[in-house]
Amino acid sequence: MNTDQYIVKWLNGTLTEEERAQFEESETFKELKKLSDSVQYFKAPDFDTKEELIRLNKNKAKGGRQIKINWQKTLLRVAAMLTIVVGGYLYYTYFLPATIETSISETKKIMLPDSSEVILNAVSKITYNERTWDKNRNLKLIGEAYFKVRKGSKFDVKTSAGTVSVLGTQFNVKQREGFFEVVCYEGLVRVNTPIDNNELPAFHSIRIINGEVLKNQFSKDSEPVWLNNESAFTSVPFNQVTSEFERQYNVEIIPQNVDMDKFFTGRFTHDDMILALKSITIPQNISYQITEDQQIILSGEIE
Amino acid sequence: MSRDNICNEDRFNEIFRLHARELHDFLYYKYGVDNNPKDLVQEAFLKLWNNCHKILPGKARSFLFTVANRQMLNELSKKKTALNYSANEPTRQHTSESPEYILEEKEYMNKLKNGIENLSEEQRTAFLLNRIEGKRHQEIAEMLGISRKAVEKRIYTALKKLKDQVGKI
Repeated sequence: MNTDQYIVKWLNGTLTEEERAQFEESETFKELKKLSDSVQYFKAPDFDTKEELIRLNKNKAKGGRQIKINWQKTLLRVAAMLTIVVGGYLYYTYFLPATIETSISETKKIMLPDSSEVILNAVSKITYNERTWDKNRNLKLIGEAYFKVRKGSKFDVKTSAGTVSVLGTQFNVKQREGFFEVVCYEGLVRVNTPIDNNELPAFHSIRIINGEVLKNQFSKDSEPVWLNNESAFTSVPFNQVTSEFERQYNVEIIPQNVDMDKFFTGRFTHDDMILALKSITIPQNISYQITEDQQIILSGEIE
Repeated sequence: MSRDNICNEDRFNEIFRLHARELHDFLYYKYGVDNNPKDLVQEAFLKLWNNCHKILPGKARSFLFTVANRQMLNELSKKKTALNYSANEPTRQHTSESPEYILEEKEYMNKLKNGIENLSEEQRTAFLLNRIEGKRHQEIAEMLGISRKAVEKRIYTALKKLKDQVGKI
């Protein structure tokens, strides 16, 4: 047995009594003994278990568990914020109906979710619900609008004067103070009002002025003239004409000695106010005067 | 909460009392005092606490050693700290020792210190646990997660290296 084998056996504690006695005599053993004894001075420093446990419990309180709680809190905060943001978004897109408005002398073209078209005349407003549109094609109208409706299920236009129901058609609805008119340009339109229920075929119109129903047939104009920047009237009370004029030109009309119920037939342009003013005053034998603050005084001669 | 669960505070404290010191010594021999073995003991036990639901009491010990090992490796790769063992000053019983002897002794201890620091981390851990703490080879093998044979080899190599370093008396 050589020295290395002795060392291995000594380390493993597998030396026999005899071998050990022999090995302990050797120089190597003395070296090893000295080394082994000296190594003891490198013992790990004291570890105060009790103190370290106290420290650990402090760490647990501020580090370990609190992190968990903070994490939960953060998660809750994020969740709450998400709920508000997503909820708000949903509320706006799904639950709040869409509203489109026009102001004076403005028109707007709107594409509905089923790609039906609506063109809004000045000072008008439509409201509809995008979320339920597929099941329930209905919208509210205040003012005047022209509809080009896609063929499909029932399409309802609700106004304060009545409801217009259609199946794939083109029609104009005008609902103004004391005035309600539906003109059908294509297809078939059903007009339900508290006074009257009617079906309007193409090129027919129905007009209700102060509770009085008037039905009309007209020549084949393909679209309402207001789409081409004109307003046209056939036997309409003059006050409707002046109101429309106000909506198109942002002016105030003050009639003096003018018969506002007198019927008017004619049209006026939306592009030239003086020309338009002449168009409506000359046939009625009225003179006009424009003041500095955009007021128009109409003076007639009532016999 | 069952007594058998680590999440039970009493049970957890008991595990600490049982293993903390050993874990500390292990970390000290492996990486030296500069790497704060005490703090690493704290971290390892905090990890055990935070995972108390997932670990069976029987597995706590090996979990602690594995975690302590990994933490240390991360720390070391960052710091590349030189190891520093400070020998506890040997208490002199015989004041009659000659100045030469004292000087020789000092030199010997210095050589030994250098030798220990120059051992590989694996050799040092196995050797010191065995020689200082009197751990059996099998125990050390379990702590390091290696075979008993490997432990024997490491201890032997370490001893040889140190013997060469300090030279003859």
